Amino acid sequence: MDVRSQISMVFHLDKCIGCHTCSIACKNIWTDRRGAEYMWWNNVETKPGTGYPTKWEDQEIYKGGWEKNGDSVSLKGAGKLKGLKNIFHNPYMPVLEDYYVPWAYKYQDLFTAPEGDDQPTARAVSLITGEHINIQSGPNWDDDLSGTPDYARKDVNFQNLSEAEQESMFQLEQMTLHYLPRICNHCLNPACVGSCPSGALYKRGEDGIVLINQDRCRAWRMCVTACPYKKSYYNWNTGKSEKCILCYPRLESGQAPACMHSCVGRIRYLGVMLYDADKIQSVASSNDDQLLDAQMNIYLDPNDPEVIKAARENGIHDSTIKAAQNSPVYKFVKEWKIALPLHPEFRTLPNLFYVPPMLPAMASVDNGTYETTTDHLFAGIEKQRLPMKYLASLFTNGDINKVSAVMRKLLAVKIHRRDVTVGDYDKIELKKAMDTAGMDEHTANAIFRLTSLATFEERFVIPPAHREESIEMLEATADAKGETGFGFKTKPERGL
Amino acid sequence: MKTNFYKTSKLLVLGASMFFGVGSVHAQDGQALFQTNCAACHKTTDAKLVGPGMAGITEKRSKDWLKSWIRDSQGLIATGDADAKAIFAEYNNTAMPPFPQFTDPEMDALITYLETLGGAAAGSDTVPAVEIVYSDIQIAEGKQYFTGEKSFFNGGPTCISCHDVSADGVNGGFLAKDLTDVYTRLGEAGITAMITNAPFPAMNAAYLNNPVGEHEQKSIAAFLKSVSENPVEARTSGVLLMLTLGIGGFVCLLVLILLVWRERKKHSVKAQIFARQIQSIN
Repeated sequence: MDVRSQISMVFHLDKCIGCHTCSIACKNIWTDRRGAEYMWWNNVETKPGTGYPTKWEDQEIYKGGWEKNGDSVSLKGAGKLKGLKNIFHNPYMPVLEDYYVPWAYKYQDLFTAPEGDDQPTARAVSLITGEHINIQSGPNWDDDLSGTPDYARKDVNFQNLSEAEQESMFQLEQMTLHYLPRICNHCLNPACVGSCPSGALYKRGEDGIVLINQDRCRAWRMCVTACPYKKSYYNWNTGKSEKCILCYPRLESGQAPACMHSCVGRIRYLGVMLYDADKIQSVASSNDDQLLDAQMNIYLDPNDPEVIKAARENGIHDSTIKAAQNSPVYKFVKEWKIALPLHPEFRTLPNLFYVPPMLPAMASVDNGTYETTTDHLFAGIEKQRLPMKYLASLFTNGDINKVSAVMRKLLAVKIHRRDVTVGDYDKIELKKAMDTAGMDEHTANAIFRLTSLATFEERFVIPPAHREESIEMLEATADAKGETGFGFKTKPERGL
Repeated sequence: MKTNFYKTSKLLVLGASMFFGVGSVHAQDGQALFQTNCAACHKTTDAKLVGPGMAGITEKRSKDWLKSWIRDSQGLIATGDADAKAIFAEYNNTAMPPFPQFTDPEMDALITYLETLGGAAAGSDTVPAVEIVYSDIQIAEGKQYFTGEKSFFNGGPTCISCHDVSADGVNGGFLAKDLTDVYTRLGEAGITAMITNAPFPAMNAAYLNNPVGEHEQKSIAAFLKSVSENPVEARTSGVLLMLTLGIGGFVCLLVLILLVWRERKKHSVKAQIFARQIQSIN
């Protein structure tokens, strides 16, 4: 057992209101720079939709992620031979139009335009060329549009749905949307790291954050192709690739990442997960139907004395183990099993888990009346507007049972809380819901508490980074003792 | 202060040496100039080498005429000067390379030196033209040297990199003159003189630090003689072949690229969406 610690996240999609505050917080801190204008390390997509970059989930286009290859995995679009073939021109990379051409408006024209018959306008200019452009798309161009032929109907997750099922999703009675905020998954088996010819990408040992060394990056852009989530971006100004750094400078000082801290809906949770690094290869190369379970089993119980012993032997600090025991992510993913990874079939073992959204029940048109009432206050999951097949395509590699089990649990919690707070729910229905979900009152209350009432400290259990110790690995801190203080680099001169 | 003085004195010395250096181009310098620039083709006696012997030349021609001939003989011929034309015709229309790089004092020094060579009487070593016979081994070896099959002992560049000759299996460069008839024009003496001390700046520089040995020179002369006697006109040039192979290879490469990368992503994923949007605008 090779126990390592990993900073993991849970996004509770039921709580996401699609306000993009997370994206703006991230943009303001990290990507508000020349060359990074088009990058959104954090972005919020509307589903059904094609996302950003367009159709990023379609690996037949972008060749991201891993493929099972015997009892191991190989990169779909990079690697020794494939990488060499495309090393000077990689056609599977998203081009700027697949993201969008970033733009600003010439507001100054509103003030400086000469007097005329028409109102002056602020025309759009490309932030890259500085020339006038016709805006054709943006990072969230289909925001809140779940029925457009251009974006929603081209959702890659429809591949598993029949024509009729797809068509019914766009009928008024069933039409719906939900949001999907995405950041780097800081995967256990990152394809970006595996693809880099320069060895510039690495996964930090202490917390598993995946970073790009800007000094070693040689602009091969293999990571841009390899990341199936398209969360590695190429900065055309610096000639280096960049990605979400999980605000590690904030984490190291005990603060939550900016996107999480600023989240209005408080949908984001962050905590430590302990996992067994020996198992990565076998898990990543397990069969399609076992992939999700195998990934869930790689995470270890931080209360297990054996795990604690092995973790200590691996140099994991007691404070980190304690953080893992209090981790909200562990509760959501392992204890309650209501959070699922996004597209586990990419085989990167992502560490960002989503609690799937409970969407309104389907309506019906009865005698010319648009009918939204259901037999019970909360309709069963089979009456949900978003088909389970669609959710399964997002979170469980097409396994409807697994995603249904999660939805039943969420529904049971909802019914239980209605019973607790209002007390008007049919007891038989309540018991049925609790039993089919395998939910007990205690767990339901715990889920409710962490979902709705959690404090900042409960949502973000950040392990101390112990930078005061790690610096001693790099330099002898006592060397500077007794040296000139106040930041002088050379001895101050005396007199004139 | 000390350093300043040191700098100033250094400058003074430098300036002085420049000042005194300018006026002092003497006949001795003329001799040196002659050795480096002229001796390849001209003897100091009245014997012909490639060009005429130089003994008594200053009596035959005026200084000004000599100067303008040395500067640019072709230019002088072009002006219609009768003497110039006659000399050009006499030496099989072999042009003397121009020497525009000579400064006026250098030119004066050279003329002064030519004056010292004296009259026609000084030279009496006119060698009767005796045909030199080379062995087949020499010719074969010369060809090897010419084509670079055998490298020069001192490591000088092979002839073929710049020169071409009409011989079988030789496809030389086009940077310098075709040497098929060079033996008839210059003879062995001329050829060896050219190799030892070429009046052409590029060739001179090429062999400055790695001179061609005497034996090697002789072999090359032997080869060039055999070439001049039996030039092979219908030799395969290889240019057409190379062109065909080049274009063919390029087309093959394009086809290969199309095949290997046939499943590449050719358009932006949004191309369709944009096309539809533009359609709906119109």
